[in-house]
Amino acid sequence: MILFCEDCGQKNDSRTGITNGRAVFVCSSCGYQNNYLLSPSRQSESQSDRDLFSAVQQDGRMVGAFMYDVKKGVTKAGMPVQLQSEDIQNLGKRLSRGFEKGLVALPRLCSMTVLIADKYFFVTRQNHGLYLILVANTPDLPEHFSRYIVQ
Amino acid sequence: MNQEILFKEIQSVIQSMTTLDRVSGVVLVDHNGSILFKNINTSILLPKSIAACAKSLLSINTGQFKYAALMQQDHSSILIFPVQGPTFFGVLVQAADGHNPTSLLAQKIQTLLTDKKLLYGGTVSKRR
Repeated sequence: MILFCEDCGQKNDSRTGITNGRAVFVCSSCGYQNNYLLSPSRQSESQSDRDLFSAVQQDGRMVGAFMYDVKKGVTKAGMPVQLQSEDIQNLGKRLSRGFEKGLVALPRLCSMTVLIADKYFFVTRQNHGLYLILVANTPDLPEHFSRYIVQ
Repeated sequence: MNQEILFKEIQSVIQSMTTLDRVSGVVLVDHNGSILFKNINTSILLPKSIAACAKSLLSINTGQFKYAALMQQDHSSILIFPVQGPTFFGVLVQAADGHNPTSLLAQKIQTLLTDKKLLYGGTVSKRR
C-alpha cells in the first residue's frame, strides 16, 4: 500500500509500518518520522492485503503470492523459502513486462495466466506500475482468491 | 526436426485448432514478430506484441514456459504458446459462453502441441 509522507508528500511503501490503524514509518525521501491515523477505507485496504497473504500461506493449492512495483521492485512477498529474493525480483520484472507487452495487443487486458515449470502464475495490475502475482498449483484459482484476479 | 516437416506439422495443428470451440483464429510468428502463417486478420491479433510478450516470459525459465493466457474482462483472450523453432502461436479466443473456461482450452491446446512434440522446451537445448 502506498503511504504519503506528512512532511514532504513523497509516496512511500510501508506495509510493515501499519500498526493498529496508524501509519508509522520513516519517509524514504526526507527521513521524516510519520505517525498518523489512517482513514477507515485505507485501514480496510491494509487489512485486505494481510488477509490475502495469510490465506495464500494456509491454502495447499497455492504456492505463494507477491506484489511487484515496476519502480521499486518486490514490495511484499509470501513465496517459498527456496526462492531467493533476486529470483522473485526477476519473476516480477519479466511477468510485468510480459503483461505490458500484452496490453499493446489487448488494451482491455485485465489478467494474465502463465504456466511455467508446472506452476500457474496469475498476474493482474492493481494500478499503474503495481502488480499482484498469485502462484497456484492448479490452472484455475481457488474460488477464495479469484476475486483478486479477474479470470 | 527438419524445418520443412516442422512447418507442415505446425500448419496441420493450426488447422485442427481452428475447429476447437471458441478459437477464432491462429497466427504463427517468429521471435521478431514476423508472421510465418496466419488464418486471421492480423490487425486484430498483433504479431509483434505476441512475440514481445512471449520472449519476456520465455526468458524467466527457458524451456519451462508452456503457455500464457491474456484475458479481457469480456473473457475473450489471446493464448500464446512457444513452439519449436522457436516460434510462437497466438490463438485468438472468443468470449466465453460460460461452459468452457479459457484454462481448459489452453490445456487442450497444450496437450495437442505436446503430443505432436511441437511445444518448445524439454528436448531443446537452453538458449538465451
